[in-house]
Amino acid sequence: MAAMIRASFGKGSALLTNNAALLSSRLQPVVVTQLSHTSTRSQTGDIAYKEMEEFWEKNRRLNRPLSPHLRIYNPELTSMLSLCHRATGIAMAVTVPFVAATLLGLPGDFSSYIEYIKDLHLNPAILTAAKYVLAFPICYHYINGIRHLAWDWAIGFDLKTTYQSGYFVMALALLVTAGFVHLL
Amino acid sequence: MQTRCAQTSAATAPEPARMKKFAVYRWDPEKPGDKPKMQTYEVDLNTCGPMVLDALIKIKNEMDPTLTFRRSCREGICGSCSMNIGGSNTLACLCKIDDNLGKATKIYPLPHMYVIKDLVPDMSNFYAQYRSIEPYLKKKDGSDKNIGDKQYLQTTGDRAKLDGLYECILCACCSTSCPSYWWNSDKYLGPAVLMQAYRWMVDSRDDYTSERLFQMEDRFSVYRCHTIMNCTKTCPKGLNPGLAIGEIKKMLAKYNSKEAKQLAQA
Repeated sequence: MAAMIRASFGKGSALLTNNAALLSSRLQPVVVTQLSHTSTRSQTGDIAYKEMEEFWEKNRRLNRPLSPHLRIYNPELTSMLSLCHRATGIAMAVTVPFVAATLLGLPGDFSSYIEYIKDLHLNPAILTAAKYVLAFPICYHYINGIRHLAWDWAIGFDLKTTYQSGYFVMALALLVTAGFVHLL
Repeated sequence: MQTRCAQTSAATAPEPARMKKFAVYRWDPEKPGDKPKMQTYEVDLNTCGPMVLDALIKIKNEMDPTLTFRRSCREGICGSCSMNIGGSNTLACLCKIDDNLGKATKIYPLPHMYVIKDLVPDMSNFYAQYRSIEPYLKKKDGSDKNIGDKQYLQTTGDRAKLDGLYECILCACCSTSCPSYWWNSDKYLGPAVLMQAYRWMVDSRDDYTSERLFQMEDRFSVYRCHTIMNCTKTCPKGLNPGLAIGEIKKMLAKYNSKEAKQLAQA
């Protein structure tokens, strides 16, 4: 237990004191010992965790480069849809409470702000684009969310189904977004 | 007679060379201050085998003996030559060279791994994580002296559960294609190791299923998987680690964790 606390403080102080070390300390195993239930770990597990700690120590000491990842890896449908799910999720999690809190604080109700936007007489193309931007996250995240729920039951995991469902989800999300923008 | 000579001489005329460019990641630890860079080689595809590994071996034999990479079986069963080719992780010995002579084929080591030299990554962490899941049969009937006396019987249905799991060659293509493993390779086990953990959980001959599941009860070992599914896309053996992880998550939701904790701490 003490070793765990010491190790976690070690990482914390590294972050505070040395900015350059921030990147390398990010790669340090933060309390690898905390992971496995130390009291129940077998001898094999002990050897394994010792090897892991030696790995990080050796590679930091030798200052080996890290092979390129984001800039060289192919954007696949799998990773791009997953990224979209995360991005739309974060976008909504940030803007919805922010807008709600702002509207609470500002004078007048939200219909007066709609009037204000109407009075700006913006190019309708800009308004439509803005509507798309607002409608897409909720549509995409909701529909892909159903795909994620199916995965939670281990349904639809084979590659063919994953790709088919992926294309279907994206197409349906765009369709529903267009429906919201043009029909409502 | 003369026409026959003309025919045979036409048959032995040399084909025009088909030159393909390979851009390969290079880094030499022995050169002080060396920075990783790309080096381009041109290979005549007419005198080269069809797979990327053939091209790499040809480059090493004929052009640059310092080019360093792992290889062994050349038939996709040992897992040594796993690397990032054309943006995807795969085995060099199974990856056909793209015939398009206008584009260079880019070859990088497995992503987000410490590089020992050129295309050789440090796999020790990956192997240690594999060791940590105890990838061997564990029985509860205690006495070691009875091992080997009887066969451990298994129905064909139970044996079928291992299909798609035991064929893993631990090439690490899947784990190193996972962005979650990139950011958390110290604590997240990664698709390859998790699929093998599942292989032992679901083996009817193994008695320690609950304890194996209990070992995964923390925020990082399994739950850094966000079903990105790059792993299944990239597996050169056509296996499905994403499915195995999904099944582990289902098992974790359903098993009796209190009982397993007591068993594990006993």
